[in-house]
Amino acid sequence: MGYSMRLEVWLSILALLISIGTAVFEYFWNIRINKTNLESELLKDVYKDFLMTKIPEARNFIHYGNDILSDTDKLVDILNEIRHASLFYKYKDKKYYNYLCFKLQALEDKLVMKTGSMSNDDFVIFNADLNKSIEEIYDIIIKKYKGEKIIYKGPKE
Amino acid sequence: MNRIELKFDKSDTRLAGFPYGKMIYDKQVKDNINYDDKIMIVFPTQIEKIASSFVQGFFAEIVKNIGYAGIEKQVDIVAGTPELVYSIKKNIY
Repeated sequence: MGYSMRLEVWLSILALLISIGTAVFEYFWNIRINKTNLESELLKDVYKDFLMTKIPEARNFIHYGNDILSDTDKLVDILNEIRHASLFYKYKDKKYYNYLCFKLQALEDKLVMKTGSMSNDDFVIFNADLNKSIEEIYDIIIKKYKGEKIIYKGPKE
Repeated sequence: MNRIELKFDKSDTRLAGFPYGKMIYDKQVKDNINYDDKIMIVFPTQIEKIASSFVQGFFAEIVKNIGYAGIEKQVDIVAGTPELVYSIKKNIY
């Protein structure tokens, strides 16, 4: 076999290997994409209503007047609903579930304990903290939906 | 029937926190409970709201001993309003 003939054979083998490699890569990549899409669909089913309407409506309910913080129960109930709705993730992604519950219950505790008499200065701090806590919960869920990395800053499991 | 009436400071109307729930269980329930009998947990009427973190801390040992099914069969909860009783039962999970 001449030199050019050997080169042709090697190039053909290389081309064949690249084709097979590409096909295998695409096969597994598609499986991964389908898995991600399925998870995204599940996440959307679980959280969409909470993020789009239930949390904002319950947040709007909260009232401060005459140095009294009131009407926090609706948001407390929604936070517990989200926790219950997330139970699937206790077995699918325990780290995410524990972190989300940590954030939900931390906010719930603040709402339960701070309802009642509150000075105007304290309300300003509470209100800012409340909005920040809600944003954090949104952030965790949306990052999970997008498949982005979540930095867990809660207590150790 | 074990009837356990919980006691809190008169000024306490709201309860929150897993460690606090566990502490109340350890101090007021642990040595007074018989898991072979029906159990009644009575929250004083002064308590208006209980966060799920407290419920889970309080019931953690009870769940370990008799499980969720056991709680449904054996444990009765008494509190100021039916809504509060419902909320406590729901938040055990």
